[in-house]
Amino acid sequence: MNGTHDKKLTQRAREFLSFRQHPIKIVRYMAKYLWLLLLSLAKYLIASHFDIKSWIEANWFDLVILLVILGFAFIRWIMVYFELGKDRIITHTGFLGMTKTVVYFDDITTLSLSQGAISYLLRSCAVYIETDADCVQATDIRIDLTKSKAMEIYHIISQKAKTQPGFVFKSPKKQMVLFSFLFTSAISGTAVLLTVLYQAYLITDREFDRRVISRVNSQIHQIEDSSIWIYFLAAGLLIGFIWLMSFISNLLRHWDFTCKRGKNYLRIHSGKGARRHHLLRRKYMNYLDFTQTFLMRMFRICSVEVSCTGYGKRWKEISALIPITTTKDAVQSAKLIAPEFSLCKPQVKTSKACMPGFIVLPALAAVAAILLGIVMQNLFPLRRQQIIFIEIMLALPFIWLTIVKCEAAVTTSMGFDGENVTLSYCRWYTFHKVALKRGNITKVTIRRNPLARMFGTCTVVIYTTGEDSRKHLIGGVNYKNTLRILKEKGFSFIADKATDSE
Amino acid sequence: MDSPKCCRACRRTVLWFFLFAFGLEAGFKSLLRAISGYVAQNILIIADMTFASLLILAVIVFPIYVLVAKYEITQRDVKLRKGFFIISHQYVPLSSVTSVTTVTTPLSVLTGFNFVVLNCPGSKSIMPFLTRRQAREISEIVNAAIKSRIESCGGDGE
Repeated sequence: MNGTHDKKLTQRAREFLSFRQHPIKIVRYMAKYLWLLLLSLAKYLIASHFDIKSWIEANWFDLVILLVILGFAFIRWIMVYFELGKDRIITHTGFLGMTKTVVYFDDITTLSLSQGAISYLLRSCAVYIETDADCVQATDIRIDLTKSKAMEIYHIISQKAKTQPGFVFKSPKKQMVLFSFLFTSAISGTAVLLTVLYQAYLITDREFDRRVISRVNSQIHQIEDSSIWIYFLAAGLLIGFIWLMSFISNLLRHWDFTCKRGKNYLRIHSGKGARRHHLLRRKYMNYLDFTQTFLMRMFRICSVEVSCTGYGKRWKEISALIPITTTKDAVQSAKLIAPEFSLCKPQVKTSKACMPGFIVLPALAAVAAILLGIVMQNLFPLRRQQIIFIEIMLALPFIWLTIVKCEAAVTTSMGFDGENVTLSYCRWYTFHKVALKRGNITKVTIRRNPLARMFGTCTVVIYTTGEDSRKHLIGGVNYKNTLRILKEKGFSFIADKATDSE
Repeated sequence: MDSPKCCRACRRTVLWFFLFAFGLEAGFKSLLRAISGYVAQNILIIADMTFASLLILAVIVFPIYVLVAKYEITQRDVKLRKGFFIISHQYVPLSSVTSVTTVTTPLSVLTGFNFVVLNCPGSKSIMPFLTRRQAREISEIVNAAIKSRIESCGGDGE
């Protein structure tokens, strides 16, 4: 009888634990900087030569606080649990499990599982469930479970995809290195910043030499070596190190990138060290974005990103569908992975005549930087060298932007073919070719400033579905053509007699 | 409702805005007089001139903005026309509107400061400076469209 009683207890305990989060969560529920208190306690323990009695007498209050925090964390872990239904998942989260969230499997846009190195050792896994709803917290549901439980949820939700053979896309490792290099922490910005710091180090070092030479006599001992140059060098080294860490983490995050197409889902796996599984619901994919920088465009390579609520939301996560490949391969692969989105020919295009509108602002900014430098050189002739350097560093990004906008002036376009819509535009330094469905368009805006009204152009802004969807700006297109094409496709606007007669 | 319902922004708001601007200017002048003993005269003069020029700009721009704002509502879509320096034409299909928010301020029957916000995934569209009756009617039309969409979709859950 005792044996039966013990078995029942064990069964109940197992049942109790199977719908609770992984015990590691107790540690995460404790205060973020609790380790500061623990360090302090450890310090006193060592100082008292491990005399436990006197240590407790001196630090009893800290120990009580620690126990209270641990107690709260444990209670919170007990109160937070989840339930799995046939068609839904119900979680009781928040402070003392007071927040109940019900998410139907049909409404899930993205399911992500993430397991870092420490989680791998502890057999735990973070589960993120996202829908299109704009919820109060950052993620609709976020729970840390055991790996087996997380995979059970993953298989329940994706069971329909299992039966369907699918197209599989795998990214070669050499391409992943290039992808990480290009998409790590604004490489050009980092390069500019490092150049500025290195030059600043050289200038301040030379500045010190100049002062030494100018005061060569008995006053040498009065010159203060501020050693400021060393700080610039240190800052430069630090930024370079941070960039390198970012590059490595990006590379590891997207290593072994695989995308499998199923009937209702796309299954994406990636990561070395921290393994990630993503399940994207195909009917909730908003659009595909073929992304290129100017250099990528010159070498005919591009990256394809997918907009699906929840994917690409986490820190440093890129919503890659095809990380990096040649443009031709990207188009072919995208057709196979996501055949519901297809590119169509442009019907409204910009031309070389629109170029002034695109390049005037960045060109003016570059000229302003140069003129400012010339003025400053006249005002401070002794600082000529430094001013020229700053002038060049300020003007360089705008000159590059002018070159990029020259290309954008001839490639910006909009196309409609039945339900398919293709938008080509340039945002800052990046070119985007977006393939979406007409049904995903939630709002269309046509904007005209006085210059646009003078030249007969306009800017079209298209908003798409998604929790936090980016708007697409197609600028410099002909107003009358745009209005006509949009009207044909069912997007009509209030007639503006004064401007429509242009 | 076959024919579109056309609305213009409530012109009464211009009068109330002028009164508000006058009160704001008087309040700012009193504030400057109160702190004149503690702050340098130059700064006070610059602050006064900056505030006055911004207010004059607002007094010129706001009435024109209100006079040219126009909205058209049908059972399928909403069209907005706003702005006069940068003209903005907006098209919002009611099939993409998930909810509508109506903001009515105190004394809005007199002032005309009523707003209707159409909430769509990825965007919001604001119709400002409506009369209370207009705001109510627009909300009813949009809510009816949302309800009929839900009822027609209710069968297949898609």
